[in-house]
Amino acid sequence: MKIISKNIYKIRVGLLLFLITLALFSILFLSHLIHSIPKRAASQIDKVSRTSSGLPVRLLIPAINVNADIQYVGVTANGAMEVPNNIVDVGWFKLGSRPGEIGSAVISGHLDGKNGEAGVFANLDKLKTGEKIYIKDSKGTLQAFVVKESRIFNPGYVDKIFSKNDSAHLNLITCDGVWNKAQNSYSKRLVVFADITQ
Amino acid sequence: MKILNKMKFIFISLLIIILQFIFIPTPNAYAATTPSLGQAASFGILSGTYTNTVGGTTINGDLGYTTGPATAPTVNGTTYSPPSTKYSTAGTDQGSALANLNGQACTFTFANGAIDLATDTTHGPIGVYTPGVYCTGASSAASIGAGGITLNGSGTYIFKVNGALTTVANSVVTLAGGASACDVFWAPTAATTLGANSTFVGTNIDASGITIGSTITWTGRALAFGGTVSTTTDTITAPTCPLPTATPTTSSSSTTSSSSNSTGGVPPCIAPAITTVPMILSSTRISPTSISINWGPFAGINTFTVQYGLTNGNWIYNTNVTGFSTTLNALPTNQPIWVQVAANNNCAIGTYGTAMLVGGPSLPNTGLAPQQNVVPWNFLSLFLSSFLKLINE
Repeated sequence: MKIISKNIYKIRVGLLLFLITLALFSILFLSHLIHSIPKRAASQIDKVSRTSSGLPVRLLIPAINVNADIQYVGVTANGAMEVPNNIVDVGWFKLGSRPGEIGSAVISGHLDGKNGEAGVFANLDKLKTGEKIYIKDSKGTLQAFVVKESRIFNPGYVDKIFSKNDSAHLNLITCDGVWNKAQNSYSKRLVVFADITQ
Repeated sequence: MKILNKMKFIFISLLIIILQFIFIPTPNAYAATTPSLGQAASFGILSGTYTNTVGGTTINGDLGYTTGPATAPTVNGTTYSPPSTKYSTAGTDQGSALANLNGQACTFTFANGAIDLATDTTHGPIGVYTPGVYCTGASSAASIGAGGITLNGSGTYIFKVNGALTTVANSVVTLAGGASACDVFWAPTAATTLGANSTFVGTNIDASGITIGSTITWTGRALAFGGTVSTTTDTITAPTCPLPTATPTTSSSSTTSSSSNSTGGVPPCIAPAITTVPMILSSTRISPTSISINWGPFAGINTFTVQYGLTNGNWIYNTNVTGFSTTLNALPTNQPIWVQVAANNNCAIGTYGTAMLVGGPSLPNTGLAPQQNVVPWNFLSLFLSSFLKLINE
């Protein structure tokens, strides 16, 4: 009887040790996973080039943990820039300049999703002047841009976001302000203006 | 012997005819010559009565009047009044110069009726004039409209207006291709009135009176000896000119060039080298199908070619524009377009400036309606992230 209870005790201790080890491993794995997200974004930023011949495929903003696929978007029927069809990708305005070309390359991204979950540009307002934005193109070239300013606009036409030809600009757009139920839109737009690094 | 004399006579008359062809040029568009202005050449304004009621006018050159202004302008030169000999001689010389201008044959005469030099196309390319003597029809006034005019090429320009000469506000007379303010002359038979903020060039001999509107830049001379000249915060600069050369009738080089022009048919297109590369300064979407653009800078030429298309490099449309802005119409609905602009001197098109996307879309709607009574993902994600943070620390 005593032997049996001793054995059960041993099994229980063993099981407990196994569970503790499992828990420890899973914690380690999770923490590694969390740390690796920005690390992966950072690890892709090794060779920065000033010239690009490919189409943009990935947007990386280490400062706000953005590492997103780039969709190609155009114009809606009522003349607005299209947005990507999900909240994790961003949309490059394909009728304008490519990132790195003379002109303004424009990229839009969602602020939030239908259920209030954070969109890819949920933290765009936290991006500060001087921080870097990277674009990877279809040929693997990486280009760096530096944030010049962030500005809030009313929805509508703002030609200077799309029309510039003095150097290579990259402008990121998302929503800002408060939700306007009647217009089915947020009240403002946030635009981050960035220039190619010299 | 008689036959020999006859042959001699024929030979000599033939020789005379040939010599005539060589040494006497046929009149053509290049026959205009710059008259001597004598003592009048140093005057920015020469008048009987000079009117100026506010400060701010500058005359870079001499000023002449019998009756002076209420407010003296800034004169970077000398002011002459009777009994000055220079003043009276300048008046005489003004008359001689006008007689010279009136004596020169018209190389082009506009159709009867008031003529806008900026929009006329009967003389040649719109807004562009090459050296020559241009005359309006009988009792026909001339004006320079908003588009302005360009005097293109070195040589003498004479505008004989059988009526009044007016320029509209903001109009510009531009010199290009070696044209000089020293060789531009205006001889209206009625009064001259220049519009505000305009730029004018040349020597205007008009005893009927010259009214120089507000804030005008004039490189030349307002010669109205015996008449009235009035200014309002203007700048008049008398150019420093070389003395006019002798008439080219004795110059063999001009003879050959003029005879080649008269027999060659099509005159060569004389134009200045285009050095300016225009930059698009701004653009605005006017409607779903029209976009306005403007560009600069001004560098002697104000005629441009604008080409545009749906993609950069695929220029399927183009239009010629006088001035520095245009509205492109009948565009594909709500589509942004690529545009580039080059200066155009009516002979050739210069280098296109960097292309620009204009008429970009309105800003995208990147937010989605927050919905209630659904899975509180934000709370869940908040909980999860705070948990992960906790175990990370």
